Amino acid sequence: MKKKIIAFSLFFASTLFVIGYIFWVTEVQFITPTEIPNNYVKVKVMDTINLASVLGASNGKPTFLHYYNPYCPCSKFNYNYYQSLVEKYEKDFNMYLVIREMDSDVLEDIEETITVKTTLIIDKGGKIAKETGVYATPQAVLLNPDHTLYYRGNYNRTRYCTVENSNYAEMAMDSLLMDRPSPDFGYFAETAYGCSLEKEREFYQVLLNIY
Amino acid sequence: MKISPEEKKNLRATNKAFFDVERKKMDKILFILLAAYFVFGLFIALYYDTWFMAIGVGGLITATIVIAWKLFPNSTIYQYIASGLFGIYLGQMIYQMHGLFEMHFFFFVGSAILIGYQNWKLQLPFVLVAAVHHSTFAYLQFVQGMDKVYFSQVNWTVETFAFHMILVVVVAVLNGMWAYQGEERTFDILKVNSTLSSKEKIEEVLRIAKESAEELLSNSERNTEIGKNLSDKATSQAASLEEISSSMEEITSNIEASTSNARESENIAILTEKKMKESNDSVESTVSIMKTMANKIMLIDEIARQTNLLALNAAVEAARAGQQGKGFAVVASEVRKLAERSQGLASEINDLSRNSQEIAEKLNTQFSELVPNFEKSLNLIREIYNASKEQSSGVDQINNSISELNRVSQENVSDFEQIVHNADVVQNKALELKDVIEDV
Repeated sequence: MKKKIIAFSLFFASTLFVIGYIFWVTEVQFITPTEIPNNYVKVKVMDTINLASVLGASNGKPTFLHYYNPYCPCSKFNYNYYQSLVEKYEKDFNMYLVIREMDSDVLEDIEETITVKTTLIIDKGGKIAKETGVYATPQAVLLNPDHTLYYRGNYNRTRYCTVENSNYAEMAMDSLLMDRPSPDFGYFAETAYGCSLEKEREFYQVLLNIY
Repeated sequence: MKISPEEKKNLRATNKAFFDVERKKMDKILFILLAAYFVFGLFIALYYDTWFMAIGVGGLITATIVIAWKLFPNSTIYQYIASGLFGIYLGQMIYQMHGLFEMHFFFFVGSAILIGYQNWKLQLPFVLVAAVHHSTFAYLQFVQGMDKVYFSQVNWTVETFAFHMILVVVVAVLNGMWAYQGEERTFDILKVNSTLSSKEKIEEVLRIAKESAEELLSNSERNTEIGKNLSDKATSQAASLEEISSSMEEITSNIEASTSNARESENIAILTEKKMKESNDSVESTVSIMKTMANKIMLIDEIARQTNLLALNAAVEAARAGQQGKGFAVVASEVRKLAERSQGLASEINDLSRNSQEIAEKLNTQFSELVPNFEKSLNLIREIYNASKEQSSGVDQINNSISELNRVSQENVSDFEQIVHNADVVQNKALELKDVIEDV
């Protein structure tokens, strides 16, 4: 009986550890602010963003940059919301999907995921992210037609975009279209959560060959 | 009614069977509920694509529950583990519903189910998990200065945490109290039951004993009857077996005699076959001699014909010689007569010889046909002999089996007699018991 109890205790402890790990990798790590990189340089609203060589002419339309990391479950979940924004605003904005690096896995994922018309930009080396002051995903950046920063921040204060009155990115797009000054949504809009841009696949994702 | 812990211990010991049955029922209900949670998690994953959490966490919880149940079937360990795992399922459901904190209501279901065990302590692991859950988030949110945790749906405040914790404690305390009261009520009933008056108890015992004695009597009468039937049948069976055994002995004797006769017939047939072959050879030799004789007779016949011709010529020459030849003519005439007689006899012998030869050849042919038929007869006799031997061996085996069957049958007769005797004893005892109870 004693041996049984010891063996079961070890098993139970291991089970609790694995359960804790699953909660961490699938949920907890995404609901706390993402760590700010050491060399991060904050870009302020109305600063000029020099991306003309990458994005080309704006045709008088504002620009919307969506930062996407297919290795990040949080970013993956947010993608559907981005697609709904593309469908709603594609006439008024130049919509771009920014990916840090492209490989065969990422390409396969994008081919499966993307169902709307959007321009894909590979931000190799993170130049665009640095220029716009983005270090996490999911994040949105809005640029005025003159390539000045209008909004950079979260889509919603929750990772599941469940609080409609905190759809910050969408609210900023509406504000820009109405020629209003850049809105100040506060901490929950500005402080990034989710994954870093370079985030690799988690152990379990590699093990199960999933994103 | 106030019951001391010592009394509870005694009541628990004396009513162990009752408590075991109740515990097993509850264990099953608890397991079904946890399994239903697992299935519900899979169902949610269909809509929210949270398979990793549903299968990973739900699977581990289910595996842990099954292992705990199998390893400690008669212990409360399984119940405490299940209580704690209810709490973890709560977290899983909230995550799977994308932070829908209304899933907290699952807490009430789990806590309420645990009341069935009538053990207030089982609420503790559940409350402990809830406390760890809320404390961790409260710590992150307020103590570590991370008051910007991205919870879903609402602005979380200290009051929210406090409210949730108080709710958990209130529900757990209420359910714990119900469990405790249920336990007390159970012990009250058991104590009342154990303190029924002695007269009532004795009456109840006597009623049950009388019913049992009557039933026993009825059954033992039936058993006696069945036993007697069986005994009679076994005796009849044993007698039949003896008759069969006797008949088999006669059959064995007959088969042995047949085998011996077949053997003797075979020997005679072999001897006869040999003689027949010899006779056949003799007949063949006779035919050959007859043929030689026929040839020789034909030569004699030819000589007689030549002699006759010579005698005729001599008679002609004697006639030419005239008087001098008269005597010679007489001799020649006699010679001719002898030659003609010889020729006639040779012809008769030749006919006889041909007839004999035909008879000998016919005899030879008949023998030639007879020998193979006789060989066939001999083979059939041999087969009869071999079959008799096999039959004899088979009958020996049957005899052995019948002997064994006979022995077992005799034992059965003895056993059935013993059963009948025992049934009689039981019947008598049942009668005595019934009489005693009726006297009481």
